[in-house]
Amino acid sequence: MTLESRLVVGVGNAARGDDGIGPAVIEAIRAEPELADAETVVAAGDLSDLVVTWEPDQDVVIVDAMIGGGPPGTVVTIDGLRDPLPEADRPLSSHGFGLADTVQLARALGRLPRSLTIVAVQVGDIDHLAPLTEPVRDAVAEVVARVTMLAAGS
Amino acid sequence: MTHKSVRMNVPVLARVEGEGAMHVEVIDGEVTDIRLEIYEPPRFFEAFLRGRAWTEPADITARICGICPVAYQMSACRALERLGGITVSNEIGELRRLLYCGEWISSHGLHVGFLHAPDFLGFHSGLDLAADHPAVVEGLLRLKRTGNRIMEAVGGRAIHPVNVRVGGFHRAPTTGELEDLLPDLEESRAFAIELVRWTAGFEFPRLSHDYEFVSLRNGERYPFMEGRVVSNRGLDINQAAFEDHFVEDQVAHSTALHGRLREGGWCHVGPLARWANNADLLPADVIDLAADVGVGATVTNPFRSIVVRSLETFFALDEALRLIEDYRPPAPAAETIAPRAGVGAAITEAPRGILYHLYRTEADGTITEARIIPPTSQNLPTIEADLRRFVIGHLDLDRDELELRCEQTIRNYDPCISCATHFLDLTIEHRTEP
Repeated sequence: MTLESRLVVGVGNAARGDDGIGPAVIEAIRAEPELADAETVVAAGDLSDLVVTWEPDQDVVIVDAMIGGGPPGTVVTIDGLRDPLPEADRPLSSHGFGLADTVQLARALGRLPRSLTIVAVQVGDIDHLAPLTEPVRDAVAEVVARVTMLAAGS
Repeated sequence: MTHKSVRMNVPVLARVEGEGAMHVEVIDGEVTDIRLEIYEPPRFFEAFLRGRAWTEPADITARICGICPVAYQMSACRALERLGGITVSNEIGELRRLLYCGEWISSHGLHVGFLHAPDFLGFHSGLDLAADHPAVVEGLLRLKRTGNRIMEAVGGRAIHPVNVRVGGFHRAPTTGELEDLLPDLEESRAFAIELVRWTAGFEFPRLSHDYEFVSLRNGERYPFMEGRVVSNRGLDINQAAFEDHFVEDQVAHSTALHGRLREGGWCHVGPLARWANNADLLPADVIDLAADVGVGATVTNPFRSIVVRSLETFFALDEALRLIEDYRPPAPAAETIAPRAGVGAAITEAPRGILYHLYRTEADGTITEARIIPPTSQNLPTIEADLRRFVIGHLDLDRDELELRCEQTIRNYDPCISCATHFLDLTIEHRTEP
């Protein structure tokens, strides 16, 4: 597991409060010298492009916001290839190709990456134009540390 | 002659961006009721544009749609530039055309592969399609990403681009940034040829009509933004005269307005209309490919729109390659434009058809009136008419087949209110009238 073979994806909308945790983590990773060689992508809305963005020999980390995982700022790690992913709360549409659909599509096409780790952060406030809440802002460093550990193979 | 009685009541159209339902009632072989109900609450964009600055519609109206934000930006900018009395440089115009190509590629690719093709092949969704046709679906995903990459490079991001402004762009991309797109464009162009051949091989239900096809036409090249509003029945008007010839009505069963021609009749806008009015302006390789798969200058079976949409995708990839090869960064990236009192209107070709914007401003640029007529509202009466014709002509179909074909009839138009219509809880009731 090397930095060169790792893709880190930050999912979310920076203009929607804590939903911006993904983009915030990517910004932090890009400023982190130890992770300078990691490939990074920010994804908002439709995630289906990821199926043809990652490669089967890559280790992929997806950082996303979640609802229902404890107090705001709680960080949870999920194995995206083995653990069940929550279904979207609405059927597949052109406006929302979600994470579970994306993994299902990649599996059908034989384009799953070598590993897929989802680091999810419980949100507090996702209001329009709100900043990250304090506990979620504090979680950015923890998520970056987890990505660093994953990159180091720990 | 059939005396079949059928009542279909579909309360919720799922997999939709908007919210709608469909009701069909047939008594003794006569269609007595066809309604495509749109009950999504009004969004009031025109109302809350009032009082905003003339510089804001490009960003505000982009939020109307996540699939065709460029169309909203282009119609808004061109209407306000017409109001301001300026014409953008050729370089800015060509860069806008490239941005629009990105939107057509992405939007058409999504609809052809994930929303429409499953209907023809008996799959429930694009995910099911992927299992049986992995190479096609992977090619479609790459094609869609190519369109998104164009929008990112020119517009700043793929969804709701942020680099568009009245007068041009905040920043012109460098030649190198656009040339980076060429390998993906070449790959997707090759795939689009396969896509056209693939869709042309589908089996198409019987339905044909002598539509009034309405689109832009400029006489020089396939239209995105420039040209007059024309139809195959002789309409030929300036964009600014649109409301003299077209009107929208409220109907009781829909919060979406229904468009019609003032002189009477309904229009059909979108790929089939563009094709009917502009096929002679396409590059030779697109014309040759169309001829090769049996697509003539006019297509009157709406189910075959998937083939024309695929041909337009091929054209947009071709055009994007040409635009990048000829690219000269506009300098300045935006024309100077000052606010003034006036009225301006413009039409551009969204993926699903002509999109009209009108703005009235005060001397300081404050907007006092805004009017937006999207393609889907113009197509809604035509969709209902297609449903009526289809049901009348296919009462012999069994329940499942009729359900599928009614859904497909709606999806022929890639309606923006229902970007991915799939019906839930369809009931067909056979009734015997006393």
